[in-house]
Amino acid sequence: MKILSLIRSVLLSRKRNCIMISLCFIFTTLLFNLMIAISSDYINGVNYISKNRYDRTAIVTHTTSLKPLSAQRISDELKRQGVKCRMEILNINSSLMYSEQSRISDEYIKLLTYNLHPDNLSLYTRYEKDSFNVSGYTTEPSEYLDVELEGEKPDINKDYGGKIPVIVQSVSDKEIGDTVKGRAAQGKFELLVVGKYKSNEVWDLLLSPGDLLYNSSYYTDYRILEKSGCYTPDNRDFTEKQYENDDNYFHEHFCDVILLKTDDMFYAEFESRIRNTWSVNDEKKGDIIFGNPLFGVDKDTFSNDYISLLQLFPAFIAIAVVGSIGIVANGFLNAESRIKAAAVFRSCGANTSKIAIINTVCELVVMLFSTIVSFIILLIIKLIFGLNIINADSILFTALYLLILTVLISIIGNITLLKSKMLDVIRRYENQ
Amino acid sequence: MIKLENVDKYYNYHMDTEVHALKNVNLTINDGEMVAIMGVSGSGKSTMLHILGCLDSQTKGKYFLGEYEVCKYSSNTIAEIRNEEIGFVLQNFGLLSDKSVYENISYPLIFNPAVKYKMMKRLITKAAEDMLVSDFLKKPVKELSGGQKQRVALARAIVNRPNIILADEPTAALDKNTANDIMNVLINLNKNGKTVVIVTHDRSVAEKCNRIIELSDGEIISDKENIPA
Repeated sequence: MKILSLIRSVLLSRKRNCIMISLCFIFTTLLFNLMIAISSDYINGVNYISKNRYDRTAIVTHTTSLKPLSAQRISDELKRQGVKCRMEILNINSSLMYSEQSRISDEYIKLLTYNLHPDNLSLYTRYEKDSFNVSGYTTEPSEYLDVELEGEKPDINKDYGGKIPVIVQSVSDKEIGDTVKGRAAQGKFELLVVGKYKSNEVWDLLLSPGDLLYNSSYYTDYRILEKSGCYTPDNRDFTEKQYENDDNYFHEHFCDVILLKTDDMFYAEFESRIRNTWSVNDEKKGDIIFGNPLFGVDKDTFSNDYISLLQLFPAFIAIAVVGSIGIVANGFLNAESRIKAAAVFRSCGANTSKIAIINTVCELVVMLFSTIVSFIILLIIKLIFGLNIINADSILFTALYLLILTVLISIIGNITLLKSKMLDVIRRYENQ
Repeated sequence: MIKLENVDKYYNYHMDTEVHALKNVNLTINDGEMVAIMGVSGSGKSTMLHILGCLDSQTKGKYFLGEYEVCKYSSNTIAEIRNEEIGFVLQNFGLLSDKSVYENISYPLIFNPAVKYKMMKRLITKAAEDMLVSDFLKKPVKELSGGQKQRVALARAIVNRPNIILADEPTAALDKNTANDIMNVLINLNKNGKTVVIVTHDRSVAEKCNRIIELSDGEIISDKENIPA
């Protein structure tokens, strides 16, 4: 209790010192967090791309058509465009389903769909809230990309008791074995979750988020989807994209396609050929349209995205080093007052170990205080600006950094105290 | 009883810059004495006081503090001896100026394991009352006058009820009247049974002690009884 009261007293007399160290510390910690948070994304990305077998081979695009799409039709169109490559369809189509049947009738759904317009935000919000998608694929993504799957793929030959077997995203709150009730097309349906993707990383790194299956809530084999009656390509009323202009009311079919690049064709060539179909008049040509091609990210392209980060690295390190030196230097600058206090304590009967304990505890308290404050500031920044600047790597790194710095300062402080000759300090005292 | 036997003190021993600060000093100070150690600057008087206060150790010879032969003990034990047996008063007070009077007086008690936390307030208040600084207990030391600071230093020196008070030029930083006040406090402490050793170069201060020891060039050149005026 007595020692605690003394520690409290010493800490109070080091208020300015504490604030200075805290500021220095917070500044450095924030920069470390920012640097680690950003660079860990980069490092993870580079690692993923380095070991991914689809590096530099996959190009993704999406196709739309007024007629139902099939692999054969897409393949024919690519051939007509002069794109020679192997092609796989990731998802053939998507079925919009509604889960709150008591509140939304088919007529109401029609009305909402009809009025789906950015100006009608309240309806749009309601529409989004109560709906979800089931996408049918011709080839399940994990066969293509290194996305591990937990559970199993929906099997067209297996009996699921009238339920539609589906896979969910890794971020889904649904688990294997869960069921989901929904309504679409001609009736009510029940989905059974049989698989779950283990990682969402591939969507962020290799493909553009917001495209492909990323948008969908549930995935299944397109044959299961069509067989279930949940979605039929000819059913206009309950599919996602439908438009009306002055003359026509039409439905647009769409799907995502992976093109595996051949050795003799560059990205630019792919893009230029696909680009030819971008501005076709849908009604007049009425055939398949390829959207903006999304390239699989290669390491060089990825590095370019982070070039500004790479340029900032030396600055980050320099500031962190300066901050760290500042903290240590602050300790040295305040050494005189600490030594003075230690000399007084010694003249009052304190032994070496007690002085070392008091000094170490004070250093730890200052560091702990600074750490807590800096993390609170990080959280506030995260909340206010929505910046993701705290992740597991940065917290671990910062914790390690704090530990090393604390130990360093404590050791230096104790050596300074114990090496200092009390007598000299007292003499200096007397000669002031 | 304080006893020095054939004590030598060297600084930078066996080095080119060696200084022989104390030369074969033999000295006995009995309990309850009030002794002044005098000498010019560099005569070795502060060195002697620091050895007596266990702040420094002799290079040769023996130092007995009561029953203890000090050099035989570990630094931790010496710290305990210093805490229990000795109270220090320094020329420039040796106080932490940004801390309150109460905190400054409390330090010897904090390091005394025999004193419980609950007892501290009573002991500090008593010492402050004895030294007439009880009205300033909450004030930071830096707001006090020189005389008040020295009284706080005295309160701190006696709060642990040590047998020996060592004062290094206790009046040097004070005006004449305040110096007299402080000397009277020390005389009263001596009358109450404390052994008081004062290092000074001021003859008028030394004249108030019962015994005057003069040092020159590290040697005792005179050791006389004195009857204070």
